[in-house]
Amino acid sequence: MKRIVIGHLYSILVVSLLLLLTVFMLRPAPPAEQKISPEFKQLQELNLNPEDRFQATLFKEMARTLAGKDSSRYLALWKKLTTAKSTGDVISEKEWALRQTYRKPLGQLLWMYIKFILIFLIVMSLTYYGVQTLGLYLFIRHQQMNPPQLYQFFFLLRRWLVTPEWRTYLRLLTSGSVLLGKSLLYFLLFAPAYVVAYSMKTDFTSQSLLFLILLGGLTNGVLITYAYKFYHLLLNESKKGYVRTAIVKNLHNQYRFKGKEGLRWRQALAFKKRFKGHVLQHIYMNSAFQYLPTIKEQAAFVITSLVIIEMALNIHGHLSYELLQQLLYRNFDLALLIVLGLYWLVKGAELFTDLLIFKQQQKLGEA
Amino acid sequence: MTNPEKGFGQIKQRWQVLRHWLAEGLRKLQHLALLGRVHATESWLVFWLSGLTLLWLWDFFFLNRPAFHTLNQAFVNSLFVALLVVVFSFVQGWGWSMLLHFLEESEHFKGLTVAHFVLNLIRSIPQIVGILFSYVWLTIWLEKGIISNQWLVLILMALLISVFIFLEVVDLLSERIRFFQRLDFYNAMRVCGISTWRIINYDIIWKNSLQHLLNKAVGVFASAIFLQCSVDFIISVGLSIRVSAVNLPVTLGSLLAQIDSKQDILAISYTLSHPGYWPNLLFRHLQGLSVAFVIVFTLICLFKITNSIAERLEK
Repeated sequence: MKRIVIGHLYSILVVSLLLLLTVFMLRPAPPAEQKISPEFKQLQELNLNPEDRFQATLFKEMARTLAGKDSSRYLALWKKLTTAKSTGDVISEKEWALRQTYRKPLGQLLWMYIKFILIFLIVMSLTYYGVQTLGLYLFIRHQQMNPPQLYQFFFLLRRWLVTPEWRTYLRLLTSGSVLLGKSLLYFLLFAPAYVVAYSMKTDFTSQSLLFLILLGGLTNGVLITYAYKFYHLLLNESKKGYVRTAIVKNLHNQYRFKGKEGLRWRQALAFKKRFKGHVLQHIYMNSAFQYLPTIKEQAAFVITSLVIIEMALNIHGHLSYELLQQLLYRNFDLALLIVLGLYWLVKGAELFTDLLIFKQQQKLGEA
Repeated sequence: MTNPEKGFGQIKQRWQVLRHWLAEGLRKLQHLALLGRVHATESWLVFWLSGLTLLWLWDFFFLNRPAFHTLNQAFVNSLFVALLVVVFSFVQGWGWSMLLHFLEESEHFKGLTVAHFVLNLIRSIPQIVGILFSYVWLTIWLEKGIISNQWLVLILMALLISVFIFLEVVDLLSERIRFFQRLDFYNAMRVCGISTWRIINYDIIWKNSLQHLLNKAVGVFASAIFLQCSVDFIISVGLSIRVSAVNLPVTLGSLLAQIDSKQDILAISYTLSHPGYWPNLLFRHLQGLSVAFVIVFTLICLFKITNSIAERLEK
């Protein structure tokens, strides 16, 4: 366990030092601290664009006409302005003031960071539960060996056409509704969050927290991708020899949601899933253990998803929106500080997952 | 004068024939649905291409010309970038896997630690943040006029996205190499004097991992589409001041971020509260809805394709 923690801490330390050093180097110097001549300062205040050919030619012509032999001094000033603009080393007081306006105090950034972590934890818990439940549901559906929904729909439609009965018509209606609902659900689960969000409203405030959490949990393909990963683990596990042995030893193997030997909806929907006396209990436990390393991947994806949502919806007062603002006004030091925070969060999730795996392995070893 | 009873009989007879045809058609559709389950990969590929073709035809007839051309351009650009991301990711992924393997084999632990550190560092940065930062560089280069060719911009976009995706390929290749190294044939071939380079590249990757690589390629393609659309959307919405000055090539993400498209998408919720409005979605709000549909439909179909390939591999 020590090795796991030290390994992670070492990499966190190295990256943090590197990034903090970069943050320090990128810290913008105020115009007063910049060693610039009063002439250059005056030129800056004119707010000219050195990349504009017309302005450049006009300036050079004026320098030659008005200063004569002394024009080379002014031409050098123009050259300095062009270099300063392209490297961003020297900034004008106006630009400095603009950057300062959009800079946020560290305390405010910290509060946004804590809020982001809280949202992440909620979304992560929701998606973890969602992945386990949806994956399990997909597996149970697979084990029930039902024909494809589309096949059922066509079958019922044909039957209704040949022998039009009310009962068939109702079943056809149900099947059609399920098919439509399923398609819409697929569209929702795979749609990028901003598509879903902008189809509902146009502006989002910091009060839209619940909406943000729902989007983070349901959209961007987070839930469905990892649910299918869990479903594949269940499927692989169900093919193993011990499952057959367990069935031979009289463990229940009925996957319908009815009867004594079948499953209960309550069991499948519970947060801590237990299927006592059913072979699914062992398949589920082993798959859940195998799924643990994927939590790292899922956490990184959830963070990416939340960043996308906060940025794309321009939700003021949130960490990712602030990151975008700092990038826009070229406060790269603050932007890197936010990235460092996100890096710590990913690393934290990785450390937590590794420790969880270690604990589980220890528990299984002891058992 | 016609006999009404005879006319009614004829209608009834025709209805019987029509019903028979419909039933026969539905039986064939039933068969197709089952076939779709068996050959899921091919079915989803056909479904995806047909869906896009149908949408293109619909847009050709009902979407205004300028928007139609922009949509086509955005689709081609996005597809081009996504394909290039696949190529770049595979090249980088293969290079890193080879490096890791040969560092491991030559017991060069310092080099191995550095390589793992770099890979872990990339892994720990959220993909979207990494891509966003690299896009900022791209816009700075564009502002300075270092690059101006649109195709070059697209190639650079793909290269920058691939830096944050190629790890998936490294993981897959390393896993495949490790899996085969545990088997007897790896050592047997080495004893026979066959070079490790050939065993890995020809026998393991080329002869025994192509299906896995194909699956990964589709997955990377889908990830590229998703990330590219997201970052272009964010850039167009959030960094709009810079973007208007720089003008990145139009992609599905940036097209979706346009105010017209956003209004079009908003019409969906309006339709939910005013169901009678839905025919307007098919004619008046085509631009935004087409872009959104292309993105979501592509993501669904590509996911289904990778999923079906994975299921096939498990068998």
